[in-house]
Amino acid sequence: MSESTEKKMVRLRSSDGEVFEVEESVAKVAKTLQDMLEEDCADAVIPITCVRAPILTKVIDYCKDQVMISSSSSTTNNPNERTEQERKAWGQKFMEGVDSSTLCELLVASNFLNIEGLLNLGVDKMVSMIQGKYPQEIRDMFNVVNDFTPEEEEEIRNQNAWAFERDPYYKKRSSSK
Amino acid sequence: MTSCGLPSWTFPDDVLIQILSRLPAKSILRCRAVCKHWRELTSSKYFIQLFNEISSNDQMILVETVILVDSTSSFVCIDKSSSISEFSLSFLNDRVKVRASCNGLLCCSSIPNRGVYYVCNPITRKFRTLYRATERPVSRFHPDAEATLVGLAVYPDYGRFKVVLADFYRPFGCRPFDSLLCHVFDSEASSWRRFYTTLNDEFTHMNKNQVVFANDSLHWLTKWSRYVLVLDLDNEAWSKIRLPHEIVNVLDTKIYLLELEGSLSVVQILKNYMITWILNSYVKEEWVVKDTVSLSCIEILVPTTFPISQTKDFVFLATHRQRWTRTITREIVFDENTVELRPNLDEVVHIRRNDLASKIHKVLDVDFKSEEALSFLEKKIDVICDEIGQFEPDYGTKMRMPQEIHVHPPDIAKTKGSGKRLKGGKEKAMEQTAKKLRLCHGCGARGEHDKRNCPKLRDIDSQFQDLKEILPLQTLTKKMSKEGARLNRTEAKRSCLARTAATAPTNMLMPHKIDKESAHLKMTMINLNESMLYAFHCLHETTFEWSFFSTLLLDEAHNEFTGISISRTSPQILVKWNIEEKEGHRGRSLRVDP
Repeated sequence: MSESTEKKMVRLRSSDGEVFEVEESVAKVAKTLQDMLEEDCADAVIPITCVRAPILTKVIDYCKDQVMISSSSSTTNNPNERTEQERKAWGQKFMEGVDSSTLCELLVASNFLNIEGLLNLGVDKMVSMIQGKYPQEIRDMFNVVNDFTPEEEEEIRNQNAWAFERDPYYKKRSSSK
Repeated sequence: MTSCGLPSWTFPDDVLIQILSRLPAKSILRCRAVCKHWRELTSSKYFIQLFNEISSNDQMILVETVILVDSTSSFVCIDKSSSISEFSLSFLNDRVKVRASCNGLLCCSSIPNRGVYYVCNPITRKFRTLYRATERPVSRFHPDAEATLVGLAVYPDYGRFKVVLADFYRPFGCRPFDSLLCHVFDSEASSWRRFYTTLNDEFTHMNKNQVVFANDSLHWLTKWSRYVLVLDLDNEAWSKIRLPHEIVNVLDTKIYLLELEGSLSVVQILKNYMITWILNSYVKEEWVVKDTVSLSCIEILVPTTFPISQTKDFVFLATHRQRWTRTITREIVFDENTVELRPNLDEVVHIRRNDLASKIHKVLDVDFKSEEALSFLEKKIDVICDEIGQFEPDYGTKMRMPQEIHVHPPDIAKTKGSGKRLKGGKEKAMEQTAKKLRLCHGCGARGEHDKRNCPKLRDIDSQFQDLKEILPLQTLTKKMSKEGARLNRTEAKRSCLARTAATAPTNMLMPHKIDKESAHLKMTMINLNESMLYAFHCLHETTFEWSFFSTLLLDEAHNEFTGISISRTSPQILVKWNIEEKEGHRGRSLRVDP
């Protein structure tokens, strides 16, 4: 299977049984997979138990892009080909239209596969989603059960009452409408 | 409702911590109310350290605004996402004055209880009360027991803080000595320590609230902005550092003490430039210019602008509210030799001049020490003064004064009304008499009126004013039967109308008519019946005898009969009706003479 002229392929299996075949260089973007490949313990299909197929597709998309960047920068001899701004814009585009549930899974996947860039992108996106939200909204987003008694919750709210007030800026905006 | 299909426990904590630590403080406090696990995560020491590290580049800024009327202050907090929230220090249950701030904590002094200080975190509303350092009585020589210098040092990594109160030692009833008394409160030992230092009296007045904590030392600016006063907290030693010549020797400059990336920095606002200095070495008193920023984009605000905080990426500037009523004009001014004077020199020239001035001061400072050097300098300066006279001022332009002055006559303006002569009263009257009188169709006479403002018609109108309002028939008939003929004039008119109305056929019209010559009111009544028009005339005012006086046959198209009008000034009745498009006219009038 492994001929030197041909690119080495790695097969990955998602939690719902779908198998993806990717180039080794793409798989190596994920540090977890890289370690496995280097230790040569991944002859057959690598099972990725906690990642569903649509999420894995997204992850592979990201990895492919990373490989493309690194190869193009090495051939053109211009390491700063993609500027900071472009990278930011690309990240935003990549994360555009990702809803919170997909994002949660994406974060879990990138944490499991140890892809730092993707993790950072996801965290930033998550931060922008959480900002300005109220506890109940956050609970719904993360599917977290409220285990405070009403008294306890009231106490926390009273302690930091200012944080639960609506921003005066937004207040003005809504009243002007 | 979106929810990730995973139970919360599979979401890894380290990812969660990464997310939460990047949130602004407000969102973190909201997240604390999500569930117990999240509260524990956000309260852990590791999380707090991580948050401090990440948020050090995105500082929240707390701005105190003092209302001068009742000297209350309110706080506004500006987030990194530039959202604004309001704060208050009401949780302290005291009237307080903010004296110092450092790394998110505030040091406030109580106004009613002198000598009591609070250290509080306005975000979490936790506070600690520091009771009086000494039980010294308040004397009349020493009316305000507030310390001149208040400093707050916070070590966020250790969760420890120190409060420094420094003042000149004033024994009871005596003039202050030259010794500086210093109290230091350590939160770990939770007790006050005090020590004395001898300093000269240059530090009597300090710029309040400009304490800066950096490099384990507290820094204050002295009033005349020549030195920075430093208190090394580790060794508890006072020292002072000279400010650079470029700051001290320049007039019309404002300086502010701030911190930048852990080192002491001075922000100087000079003309339209903001120059940031950094203290490189405490021992050598070496200052370095970090950057120079042009403020010309906010030129109009520069006189009231001052920096509040800075990080490596931005400087947060604030400005006093000010009403701009003055306008600045720039015009060329010549002196008596007709050389243009330019008070607003180019900024570059200005800075070069300042540099030169500071160099000269430096030279003076060095050479002041020996007599030889002084005389050498005197000689050199004499030479320079002679030589400098050769140079023409290159920035001025010479201008020739005009020998002859031409005065141009003003342009002739042609407007409406220009060139007219005002007429006198006599002339106006003569013009009036030459005018042809107009014909009034109301009274038929020629005069200075027309039908709309005919005085005769107006009189009649006023007479008939009460007649026009027709009272209910029943009440009138009753009244008439009771009082009979002894009714006054207007009531007679009314009752007459009422009676005729009561007896007349339904399609009776009730117009009126006046006989002008006899000045008597006479009533005319017209009965429109089938194709006949009957006119009745009232003969006697008091008895209301009616006589039939005219009849008119409406022989043709009486259906189109629209109205009847009776001339009020002449004894004739005009009947008008429409004949649609017949004979080419719309109306026709008939004359019914009595």
